[in-house]
Amino acid sequence: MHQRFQPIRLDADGQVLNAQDSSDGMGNVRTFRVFGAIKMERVVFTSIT
Amino acid sequence: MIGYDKVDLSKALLPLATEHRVNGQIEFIRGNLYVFPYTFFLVLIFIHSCVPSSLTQQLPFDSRTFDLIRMSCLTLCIPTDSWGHVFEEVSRVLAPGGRLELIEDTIIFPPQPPTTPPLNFEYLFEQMLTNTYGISLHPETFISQMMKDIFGYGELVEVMHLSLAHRNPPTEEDDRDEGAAASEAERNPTTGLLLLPSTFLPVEAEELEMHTTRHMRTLLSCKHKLVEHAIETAAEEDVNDELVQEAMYEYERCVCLVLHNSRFVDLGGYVARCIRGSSLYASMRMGRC
Repeated sequence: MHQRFQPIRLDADGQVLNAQDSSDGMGNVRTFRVFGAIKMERVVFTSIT
Repeated sequence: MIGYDKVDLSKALLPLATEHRVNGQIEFIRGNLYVFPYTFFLVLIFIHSCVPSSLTQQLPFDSRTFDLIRMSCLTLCIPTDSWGHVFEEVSRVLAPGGRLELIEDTIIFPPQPPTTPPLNFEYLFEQMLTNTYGISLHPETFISQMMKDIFGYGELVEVMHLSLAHRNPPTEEDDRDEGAAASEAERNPTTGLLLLPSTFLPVEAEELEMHTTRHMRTLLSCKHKLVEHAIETAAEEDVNDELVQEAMYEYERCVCLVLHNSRFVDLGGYVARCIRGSSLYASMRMGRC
């Protein structure tokens, strides 16, 4: 099931009030995951008899 | 640098390229990695050179051509059983030691959308993608392992959360001074998103709306297929085309309300240009329609 976002509340000093919501991801409008891959050289082992 | 996509973005990005003095080093190629019955687009940015050509099943590039490939926001474009083919093609055109950067966007909707029982379009949207088109909504569960298997090395590098924050709801005292509060919001229409834990990113109001309604608009982009799916899968006999179309109209209308009525958001991303005390204003502040 998809996620829903809940607005995060800030106090007059700009501090996050509902820290629980922000820490569990409920405040997220968007979440980006960055993956990285490297193409490794393939090493072929041959046996010499 | 080469851009590859179903939609040609090069004209829109030309001013940016000119500003950075790289417009002579950028080439754009329009194409699809393979034919997909619904919609498919692929964004790749290649750093190196290429041989452009038309394509259906393969990327139009020679093997071992690129040092870096960047792909973004492909979750809704690639059926689960095709990710392997995509990665195999990317691996083919990467030079040994070359890198792939893949950025995936989680599907997140605003809270409490309008629903017409038994129609919940967001649930139906996911159901249609999964059952009809074989698209996984959570490719992060298998991407890392698939990368390792195909490229030799692959990891989840980073997770970034963008949040829409707002200040405490106005007190009764604030409500009595509506004019002053509205005036302050007009003077200081600072908008932005919070990159957790604490980085504020200034964002124009229109762009902020784009972020918050992104997946609602994605859903609406395939509304005709979704209406068909809703009717085909409905358990109740009274779910007919008229009912579904009416419910879809309500869903679409609420996105339009968000897009056309919220023009100013105060510090922390709080919609400010609305009629205070109205139900529309109250619901928009909560991020729903």
